[in-house]
Amino acid sequence: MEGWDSVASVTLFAMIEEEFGIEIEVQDMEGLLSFERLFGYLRQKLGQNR
Amino acid sequence: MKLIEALEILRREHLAQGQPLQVSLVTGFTPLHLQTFLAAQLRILFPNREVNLTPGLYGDFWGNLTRLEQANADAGVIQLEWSDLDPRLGLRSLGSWAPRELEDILQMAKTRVSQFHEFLPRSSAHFPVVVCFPTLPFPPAAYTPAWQASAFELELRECISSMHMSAVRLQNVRIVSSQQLERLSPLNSRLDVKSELASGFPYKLPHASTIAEIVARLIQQPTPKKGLITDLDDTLWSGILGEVGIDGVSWDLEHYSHMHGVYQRLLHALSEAGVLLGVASKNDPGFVRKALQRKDLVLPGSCIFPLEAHWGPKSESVGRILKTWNIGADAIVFVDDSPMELAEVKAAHPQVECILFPKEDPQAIDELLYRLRDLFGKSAVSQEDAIRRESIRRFHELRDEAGGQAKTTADFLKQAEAELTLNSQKDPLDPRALELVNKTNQFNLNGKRYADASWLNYIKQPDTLLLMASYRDKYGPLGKIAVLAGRKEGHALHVNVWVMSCRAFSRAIEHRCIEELFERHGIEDIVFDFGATPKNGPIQEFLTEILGDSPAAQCRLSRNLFRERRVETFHKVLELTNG
Repeated sequence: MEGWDSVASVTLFAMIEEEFGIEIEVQDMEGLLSFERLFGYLRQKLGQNR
Repeated sequence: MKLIEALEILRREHLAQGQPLQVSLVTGFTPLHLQTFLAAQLRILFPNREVNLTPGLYGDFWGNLTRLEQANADAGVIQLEWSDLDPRLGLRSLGSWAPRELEDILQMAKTRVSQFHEFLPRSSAHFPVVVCFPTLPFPPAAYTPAWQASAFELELRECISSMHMSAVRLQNVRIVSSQQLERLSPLNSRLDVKSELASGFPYKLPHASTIAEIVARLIQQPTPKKGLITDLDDTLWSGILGEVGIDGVSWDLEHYSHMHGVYQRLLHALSEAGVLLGVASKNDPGFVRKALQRKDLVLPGSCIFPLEAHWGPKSESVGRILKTWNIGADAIVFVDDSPMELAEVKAAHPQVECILFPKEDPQAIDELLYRLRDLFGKSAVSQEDAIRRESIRRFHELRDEAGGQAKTTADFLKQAEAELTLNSQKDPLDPRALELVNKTNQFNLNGKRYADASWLNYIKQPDTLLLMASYRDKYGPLGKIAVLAGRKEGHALHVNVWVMSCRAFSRAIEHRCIEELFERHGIEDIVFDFGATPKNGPIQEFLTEILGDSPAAQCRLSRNLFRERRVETFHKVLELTNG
């Protein structure tokens, strides 16, 4: 995506952590490169927490 | 503020007017979310300006600090952390914590302190600088357990203290209060280890948000309130005067009413710092006057002016007090223990900040003290602050006396023995000039506010003329009350800035200032950079009177027209030559 960089990634992950009250492991971040993967990851993570 | 809210604020379209607000940010870490939060907070506080935040280089705190001096900025922000004193005090360095290394860390920190002492005065000479000293927990580098303070830690804290002390003495430096930060962001909720390791940003989001909020406020420096009107019964003191009598009201430990005394102590401190104090009480006026003469009052009765004690509505009392003080309703706070009285005042004066005095709750009274400090807090107390109350009181009391003898305003002014002292020096520049420009609403030519750097830049231009006026008469001094600034172009003087304190109204000072401009500069016209604001009615009235028509942008007053329409003045004019 044009204009997307590491700062944008860090900001997005920080925002998701804050919004959903979860911790995303650093090693997981590398794999979360698309909306689908992120969505699946969140479903799994939130399912685990409930 | 949440990160998503900050981003939303920054994403929103807004109408930027005037110069962008340039802020240089000095950190050793990557400013990442701190930068986002700070930009969002500044956007809220400066809604009409574009905000440009410029961070320094990652990992180069001291280089960034050195470069701050050259920055073309309206403000600088220095966020220091322990690891900036020595990288071994941070998580990302694996430098040794062996006991034999601690002295070396300390020596490095002392070198850094010297650098700080050297560079901060230089940077803050050009624009205001906000400094935030280490906020993160001190690392477990010393050999003592956490519950025992080590000499190593204490010596490093002493280094920080010495930086605090040198910074606080600089006029343009504002320091983040570590106590306030502690109240809003507990120490153990600040460090984000994962983020520090992954991206070099050491703060948890709420901590970054809190720092940004405080720093933005220090950059903006909200205008403090000017006056406080307080109720008496069950507020200034405990008890109902009409029921328990003059000796029955109390503010001490013995009567379980001590917090009323603490409230009085704060009001006394505010009064001595230039805050106007008035009373609005439903009471017998004779009783109140006697009660306020009690020698054991922590707030001496003499600090209160005016006193409105009667059985009429408090909204009317507040209205009269505002008229006496000649300030706007948005500049005052009204404190009362009755929600009904607060509501009645609020309905009549919606801009007044109405605060309940929580008479039954000592803890809440303690919190009220902090709130009042925030509303009235200022960076420095000026000479004008010290004389404000007395000058208002004397003017009203003696005008009432003189009113019997003087038939007209001119008669009154003739016998006032007024002295106007004019100062046109730009170097050294009196900081009171900018203070007046930025806080005056009513007699303000166009309502333009200036950041420190832009004011300095404007005044330092060789063709900018500055005139600052101080006033005194037989009723007492008013201090520095007016500022005029402009540029001469041919036979005309273009006045860009003209403000006058509301305390100086009704003394024909504005007429005399114009007269002085014509005489001093040998000009034929004065062009006013006028702009109407919702609050500058008094200067609109003056310009209408002197121009014979409603003022417009760039309105022009000729020497001849001024001669025709001016009022007679009786001031003795002095020139200040020694600053």
